Amino acid sequence: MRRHTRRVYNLAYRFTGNRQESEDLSQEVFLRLYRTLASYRAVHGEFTTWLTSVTRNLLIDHYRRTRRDRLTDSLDDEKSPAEHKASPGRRPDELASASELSEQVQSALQKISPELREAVILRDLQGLDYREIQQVLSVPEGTVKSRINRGRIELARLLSGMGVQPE
Amino acid sequence: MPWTCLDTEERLSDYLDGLLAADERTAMEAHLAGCASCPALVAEVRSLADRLPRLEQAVEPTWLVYRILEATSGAVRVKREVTWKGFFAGLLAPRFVLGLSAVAATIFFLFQALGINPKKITAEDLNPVNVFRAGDRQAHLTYARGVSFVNDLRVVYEIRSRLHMQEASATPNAAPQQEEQKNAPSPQSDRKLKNDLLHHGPSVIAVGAMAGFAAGGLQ
Repeated sequence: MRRHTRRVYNLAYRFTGNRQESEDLSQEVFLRLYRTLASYRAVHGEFTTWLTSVTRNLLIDHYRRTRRDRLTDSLDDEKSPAEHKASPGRRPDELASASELSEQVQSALQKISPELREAVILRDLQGLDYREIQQVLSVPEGTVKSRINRGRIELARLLSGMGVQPE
Repeated sequence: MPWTCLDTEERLSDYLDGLLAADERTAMEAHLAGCASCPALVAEVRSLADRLPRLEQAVEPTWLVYRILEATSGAVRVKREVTWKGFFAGLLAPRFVLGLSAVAATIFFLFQALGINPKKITAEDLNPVNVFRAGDRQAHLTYARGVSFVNDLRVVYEIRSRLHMQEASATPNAAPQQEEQKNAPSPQSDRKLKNDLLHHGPSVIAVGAMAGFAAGGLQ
């Protein structure tokens, strides 16, 4: 239970970038899972893939619901100095810190499109293979590969702009 | 066709994952060797793809699991399918039968108390005003019967005490052991009793008869 909760929570947190929303979404995922558990069949693939699929669908629903709020927030951000913009004055050893890199990645993830974001999260943060991602996203393999590739490139450019140096 | 920067960008993940064909890989590496911008991009994406899986996981709050367990423990409501068989089985359940019997008994006693004949029941009988009047009437009748019964009992005891007094005055020296037999009414005392009773109402006559019967039973 705790392992699955962490997986769902991480997926939600990486996608939304908000802990409070991730907690609520995690609970909602398990509620939905519990209600539809009877409909789970082996044809849906591994349980973990099915769990990821349910989580992803809920995240996309949540993304669409909150789109208007985010647009308003982004307008507000443009008026005030962005706190999470690149800080050129930081020392390299600070940027090397793991937790800081995690925050940088989190910040950069929020700036790429949800399609690319979910593909990168599923591949590089959740460790799913292409076939599982194809099942979760219900898109052809070529689309999965393309999204992962474009997502990585956009993320790398954003991190570079934040001062994160390659290892 | 020469390998371009756009080709590099499009096939970058395939290159890093080792999914490029040999000739494509050769062409791409030849391009990287002579390109000013692509090697930096390749290094950045390679580094990112290496570091992302090693990022520390976000740790959920401890109480989240308990909150989820609490929320899901009663989330599913079992939807019971109602069938005719199940419906009639429910009607024969002891709890339902006992409850129904109690309701029927209550209604029966209520009708009795209100003087309503269930076979000839009309809408007027169920009018609250009529129900109240019938209840009030029955209550007064019951009270009157009670009062009458108590009065009758009083008369009976009075008659018996008079009989005792008459017997005691007729045989003042009788032995105590014969007293019980003397307490029984004699034919003369029976006649006197009847005369006394004639001065009372019909109910007292009935009570007097009862007293005579009771006295006869003692003999």
